[in-house]
Amino acid sequence: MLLFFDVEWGEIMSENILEIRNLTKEYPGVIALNDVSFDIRKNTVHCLVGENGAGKSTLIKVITGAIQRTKGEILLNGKEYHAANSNEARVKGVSTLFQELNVVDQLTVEENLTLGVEETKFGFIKNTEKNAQVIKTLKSLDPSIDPKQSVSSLCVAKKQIVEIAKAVSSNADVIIMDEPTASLSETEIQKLFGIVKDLRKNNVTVIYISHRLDEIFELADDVTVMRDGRHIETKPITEVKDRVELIRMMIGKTIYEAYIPPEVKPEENILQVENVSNKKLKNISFNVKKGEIVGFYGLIGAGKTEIARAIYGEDPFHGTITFEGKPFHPTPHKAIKAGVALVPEERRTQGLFTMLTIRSNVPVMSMNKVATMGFLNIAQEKAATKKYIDALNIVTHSMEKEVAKLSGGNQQKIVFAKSLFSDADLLMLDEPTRGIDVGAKSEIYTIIRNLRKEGKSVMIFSSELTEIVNMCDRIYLLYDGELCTCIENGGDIDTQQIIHIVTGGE
Amino acid sequence: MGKQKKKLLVALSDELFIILFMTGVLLVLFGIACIAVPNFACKSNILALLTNNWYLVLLGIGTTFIVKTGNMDMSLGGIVAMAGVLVAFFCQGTDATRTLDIGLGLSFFPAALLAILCCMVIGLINAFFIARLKVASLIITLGTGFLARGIAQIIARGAQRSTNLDDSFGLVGKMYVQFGNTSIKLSVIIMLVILIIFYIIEKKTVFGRTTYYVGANAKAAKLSGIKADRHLGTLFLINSVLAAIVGIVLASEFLAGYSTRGKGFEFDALCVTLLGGTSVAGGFGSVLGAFIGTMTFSIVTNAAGGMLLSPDWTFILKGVVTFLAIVAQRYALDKRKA
Repeated sequence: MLLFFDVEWGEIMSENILEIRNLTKEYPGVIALNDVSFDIRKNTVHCLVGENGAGKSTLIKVITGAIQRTKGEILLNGKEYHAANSNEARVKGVSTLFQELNVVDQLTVEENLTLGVEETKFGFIKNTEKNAQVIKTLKSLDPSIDPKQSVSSLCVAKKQIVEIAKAVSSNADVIIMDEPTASLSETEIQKLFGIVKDLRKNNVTVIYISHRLDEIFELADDVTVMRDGRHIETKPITEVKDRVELIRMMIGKTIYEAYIPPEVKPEENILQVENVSNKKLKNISFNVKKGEIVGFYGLIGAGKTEIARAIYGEDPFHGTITFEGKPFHPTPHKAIKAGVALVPEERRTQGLFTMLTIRSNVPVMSMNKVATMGFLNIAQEKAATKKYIDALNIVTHSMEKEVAKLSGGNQQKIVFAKSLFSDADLLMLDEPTRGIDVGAKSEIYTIIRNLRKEGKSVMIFSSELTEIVNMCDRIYLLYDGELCTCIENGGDIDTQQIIHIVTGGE
Repeated sequence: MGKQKKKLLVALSDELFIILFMTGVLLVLFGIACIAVPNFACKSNILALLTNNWYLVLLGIGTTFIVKTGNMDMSLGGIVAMAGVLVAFFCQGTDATRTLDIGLGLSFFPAALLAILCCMVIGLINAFFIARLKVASLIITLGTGFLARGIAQIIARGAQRSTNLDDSFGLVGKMYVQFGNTSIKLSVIIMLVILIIFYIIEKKTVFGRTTYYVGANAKAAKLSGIKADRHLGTLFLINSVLAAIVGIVLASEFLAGYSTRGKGFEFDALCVTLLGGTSVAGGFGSVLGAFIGTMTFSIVTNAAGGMLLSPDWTFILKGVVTFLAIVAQRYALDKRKA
């Protein structure tokens, strides 16, 4: 009897390849993963869905060892699993296909496949059984790829196939795919789906992350929904009625912080964009009025940043942009002079001079305001910096502190201070609150609303729906480089409808 | 007391910290040299430390600005040679028979101006390729360095132009200015004036600040409306002018334009710049550091001579001290930041 029990128990154990128990990841001020527990069944395609910032990527990063958990445990085949880095994860049987390609363009396909696993003799690379095995895998996936060919000559989809071949041949039990279809065409996507289904047949478990909900219904055996760093539900896809139900699970009953309409109704146009197209954008037309907050929402890669870049003169485009009634042919320099300022997506790499002091960072966008005849007026510079430290509530004991030493929220406020100091009439905010804590977030929202009160115009490009719905007077929705629709915010926005549109629904 | 001292140390900017640190290193080396080398501490020798390497400070000033943006200028040595040969050629009389004796017959100052303009053409080529065509500065300046030296070689027929020159040619290079009972070379005074001017530019002007912005984060600088490329081009142009001044004053001092003058100056300039604490990653450093770096460099060279080491050994000594000083400096900075 006891023996029977044991066998039974063993079988139950082995049915789940991964068991996640009370997994938590905390950052200072932010809980990215909050007590997440769920199981992933063996030989299934397990889809992970949730809004941006729901915690999917954090979970994947913990599993692959890119970051370390705060607490909780992960069991792989019933045994405690811990990876210090992605290489260790691979050795233990967990391979990952990252959103960004990890192939080395300068090497050949074969060299890429054996990179990191090559065996050497006297420092020379040996031609081993293993190599033959990898190439065989590749051939079975796509016979048209020549192993001797340079990777740079392959298209994105084929590069991805090379990566898949590498992941598969490493004898992985689990392959994680993070938005693998983001850069693929329709036919390539179908090919990838075929590969995923084959993998399942060959006793590999696939964890599949995608924003495109149709893919989930096509591929998934099970689906796990995450929201705000929490696990919401895991169930077989057959038990999910339709995408509306899935979307409801993703959004939940989140009560949005109330939207506050402007005191004066905006009338006069400040920016008019007509038929702007380039590599990423298709026929974009919209307008922004004085004293208005306009939001742009879409998934990653939908073209939000590209709109900001075009207006700021960073990317070339066809079409016309009119700013304050005049045609606008911008470079960043001219844009700032005309009264447009950008708060870029990545504050550390695009917005700040982290090794310089707060005082040196604040005036950079209009140095002539703190200088006479090319000579700096340090007193004016200090006064301006002091003004913004107070106005934006930047926490620091000295303005001579290097920006690198500040917290994310305070750093973001410095980027804001920079743009505000330039006296811009139109501010473009690209992901204005990414990676900062709740307190700083709400402070930044207050700053934005005050700008509107002063009659300035604000464009918010965000992948955080809550932010868009709370802040914006009008919302443009983007999908795949196109503006789908414009929604007036009356305080009763149907977020399910928004998600439906930006995930490619009609 | 100790706590207060610590507080003071924290309040210092990293830049000032490094300069003080390197001044400390300088004083320690000076102390060692005073003990180890007989007559090192005498007045004339201390003055010689300044006098022998005045040109390195000038090159270090320009190089500091360039390195602060994360770039390099390898054309310095070539420009020094070219400027020297050209100024000699422009000053040589027109009435001679051997080709190497015939010049343009200009007087010194117009000739110097013309030579500077010619060197600015090299600087412009650097600027154009770096700012417009985004060629790595290391590559293009290696090329233009050879180009400049090549021009010097052709005009000097692979040797020198030293004949058929008026006495006024040596005026600038050989002039001494009397201060009480000390006489100081004019070139040292030129160097000090230029050092002060560039220190003011660095610390008190929008131009100097822009150099820091471009070096600290070129991408953010561009997005903040700074014309980063144009700034970079201007710096290379300025650097060619500084190198030209060095070449001209050296030619005046030696009464000759040598086509081989200035070989390796670009490395010496880089060396004193790094000794001065400027970071190759960009965004950090000061021309004051270049001055202190040069003095450190001078002490080592001078002490090696004083210890009667054969000149062959100077390089090893220079190499070891420079390397250790820079490593110590980076270590101190990391320690402080942690």
